[in-house]
Amino acid sequence: MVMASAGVNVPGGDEVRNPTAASASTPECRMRRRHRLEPQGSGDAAAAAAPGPSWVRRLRPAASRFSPSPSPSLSPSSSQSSADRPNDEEQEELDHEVEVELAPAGPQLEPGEAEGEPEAEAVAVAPQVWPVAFGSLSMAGRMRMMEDAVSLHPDLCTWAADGSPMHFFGVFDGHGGSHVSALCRDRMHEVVAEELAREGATFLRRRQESAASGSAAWSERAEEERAWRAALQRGFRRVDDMAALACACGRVARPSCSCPLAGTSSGIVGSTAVVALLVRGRLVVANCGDSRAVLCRGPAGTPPVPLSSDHKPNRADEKARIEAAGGRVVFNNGHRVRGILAMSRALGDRLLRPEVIAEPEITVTERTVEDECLILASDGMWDVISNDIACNVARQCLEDGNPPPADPTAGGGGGAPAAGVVVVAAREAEPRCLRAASLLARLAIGRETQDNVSIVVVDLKHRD
Amino acid sequence: MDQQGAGGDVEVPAGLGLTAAEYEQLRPTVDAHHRYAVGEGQCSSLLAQRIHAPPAAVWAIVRRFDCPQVYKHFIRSCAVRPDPDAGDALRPGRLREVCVISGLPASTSTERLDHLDDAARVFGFSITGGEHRLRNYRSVTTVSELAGPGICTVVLESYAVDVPDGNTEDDTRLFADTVIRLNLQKLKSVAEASTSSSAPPPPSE
Repeated sequence: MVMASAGVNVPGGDEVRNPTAASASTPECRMRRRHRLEPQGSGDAAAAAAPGPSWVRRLRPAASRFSPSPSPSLSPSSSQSSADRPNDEEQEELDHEVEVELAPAGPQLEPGEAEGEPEAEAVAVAPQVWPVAFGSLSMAGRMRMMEDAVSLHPDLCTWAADGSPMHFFGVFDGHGGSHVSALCRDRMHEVVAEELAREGATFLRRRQESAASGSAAWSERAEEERAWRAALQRGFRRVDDMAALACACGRVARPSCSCPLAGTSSGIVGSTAVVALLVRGRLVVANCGDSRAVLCRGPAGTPPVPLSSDHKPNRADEKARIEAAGGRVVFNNGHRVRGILAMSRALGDRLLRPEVIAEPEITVTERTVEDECLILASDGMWDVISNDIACNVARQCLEDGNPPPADPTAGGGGGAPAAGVVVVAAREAEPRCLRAASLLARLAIGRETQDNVSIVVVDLKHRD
Repeated sequence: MDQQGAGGDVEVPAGLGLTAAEYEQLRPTVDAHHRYAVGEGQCSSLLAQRIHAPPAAVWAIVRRFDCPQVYKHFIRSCAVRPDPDAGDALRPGRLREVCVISGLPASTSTERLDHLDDAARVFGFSITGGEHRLRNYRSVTTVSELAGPGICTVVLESYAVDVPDGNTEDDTRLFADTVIRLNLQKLKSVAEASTSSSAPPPPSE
C-alpha cells in the first residue's frame, strides 16, 4: 500500500494554493455576471445585486484562459487525507502500458479541434495517473416538480484501443414533463457504450489498414477523438429518436402507448443533456441545451475553463441557424424559439422542429495535473452561480481536510426549502464531492433559483 | 389571396388554409363571432383547422371548460373554481386555474368562461390573471360544418391581446398563433381518433 501510494504521486503535488484570492475578471465577464463576485463562503447570504437576465451570460468555445494567479500565495496548502482507491492503482497500470505504446505517436491534437490551450506534452518521469472521484446532488427548488435527472457511470466501458476505462457522467434538465430526462438518465449511457464499442471496432480496423498500407497519415489521437465524437453524436441521435416514442408513463415503443397518461402528454416535452466522458488524460464533453460543464483548473483565482457553450436562442450562430430553418426568436420572459422554448437545442420537443435540434456540440480537452475538478450542472445552478464562484466553492470543499459546514444557513427571505433532495448513491461516491455538490445546491437555492438544480462534481486530483 | 370572380370578390385571410368557397360558407360565423375592435397596442388573429369528424364530436371536446388539457398542449393541470350558485354547471362567469408545464414563459393562468352556446357551438374565454405576459387576452372558438362531399368540420379560433412592452405585433402574433395552431392540431388528432375507434386507425401524422 505504501508503495502504491507513492507511485500515484505526481510532480507539483506540493504546489501552494491561495483559496481566498479573488478571481481575476475581465470587464466583459464582470458585465455578464448576474451577481457581483463574492468571496467563498457566500452561501450564508443571498446576492444583494439586482438580478439581471440569466440569459445574458453566454459561453462559447474559446482558448483556455488558464493563467497563474496574479497574487501568488505564501500560505501552505491544507493537508489532505484520503483512503487509497483501488481504481487508481488499476488505472496506473493501464496508463503505464498506454504510455509505452503511444511513445512513437504523432503530433498532439490539431489546433482548433478541441477547446482549451494545447498543453506541451511533459516528459514522463512517472506513469501518469488520472484519478476520478465523484458526487452529485439534485434539488427540486421552488414551485417546480423535479424534472432533472443525473447519470453516474464510472467505468462504464473500456476503450477498444487499449482497454482504458471510460467514465460517464451526465446531467439532464427536463422541461414540460420528466419522461425525456428520465429516458436520458436510463438509456443515454447504454446507447453511448454501444456506439463506443462500435466505433472502437472501426478504429481498430482502420488502424490495422493504415499500418498494413504503411500510411504515414494515421494520427492515433485525432482518430480516437473522431471516434468518440461520432459515438456521442450517434448516441444523442438515438436517444432523441426514442424520445419521440416516449410516453409519460415511461414506456418507449411503437405503436404509441395506449395507457391513460398517453392522452395527457404535451407535445413540448424535452430535456437538455450535458455528458462528460473521461478517458485516460482527456475530457470529452457533449452538450445539447443550456446545462453546462466547467473545468476547475489551477489554484484559487484561476479562471475556470468552460467545456460547453449554452445553447440559447439568441446566441448569434444559433439564432442564424434557427432563422435559416424558417423559425424566429422572440423575447418572451427571455429569448425563446417562437416565443416558447428558452433553449435552441434539446432532445425531444418534436413540435418545435426543425428549429430545435438535438445535435450535441462536443469538446475534447487534455487533462493536466493542475486540474481540480469538473462540474456538470443544470441551468438552475448556473443561472445564479457564476463559473468562478462554483469553481472556488468546489475547490475549497475538495482541498480542505476540514470541509466547510455541511449545512450553511441560506439567507434571502427565510430558509431554503430542502424538499425533493435526491442524493444519488453510487459506487465510489466521494464524500467531499458530495459535499461540494450539496453546498453548491444550497447556495443556488439560497439565491432563489426558480428551477430544479442538479450538480455533478468530479474530482480530478489524487488527494491523500 | 384567393379571388372568386363570379358573385363578387371574396378575400380569404392569408394563412388560413381555406378555399374561397369554404370561407364564403363560414363568413356569417366569422362576422358574428370572430371580429374584434382592436385598439392601439393590441393585435388579433384568426386560425382555422379542418377536422374529419362530426361537428358534434368536436364540439364535445371544445366545450370542456373544465378539462382543456384533453386538446391543449402546455397544461399541467386545470381546476375550475367552486361556485356555490352554479354547482357543476359550466356557464359564463366560471373561472378556471390553469397550471402550465415547465419550460414555458408562463406558469399559471386564470381564465373566465365568457360564452358557451351549445346551439351555435360557440365557446369563448378570456384570461383574467396569472403569471404570463398575455394581457387582456380574449378568445373565441367556433365549430362549423362545411357542406360538401364527406364529413368536414372546421374549427375557427380567434383572439385579441395586448402587445407586451418590448415586443412587436408580429412577435406577439407569432407566439400566440404557434400555441393555438399546436392546440388545434392536437384537437384534430383527438377528435379524429375518438370517432374512428370502430374503424382502422388513421395514418400517423
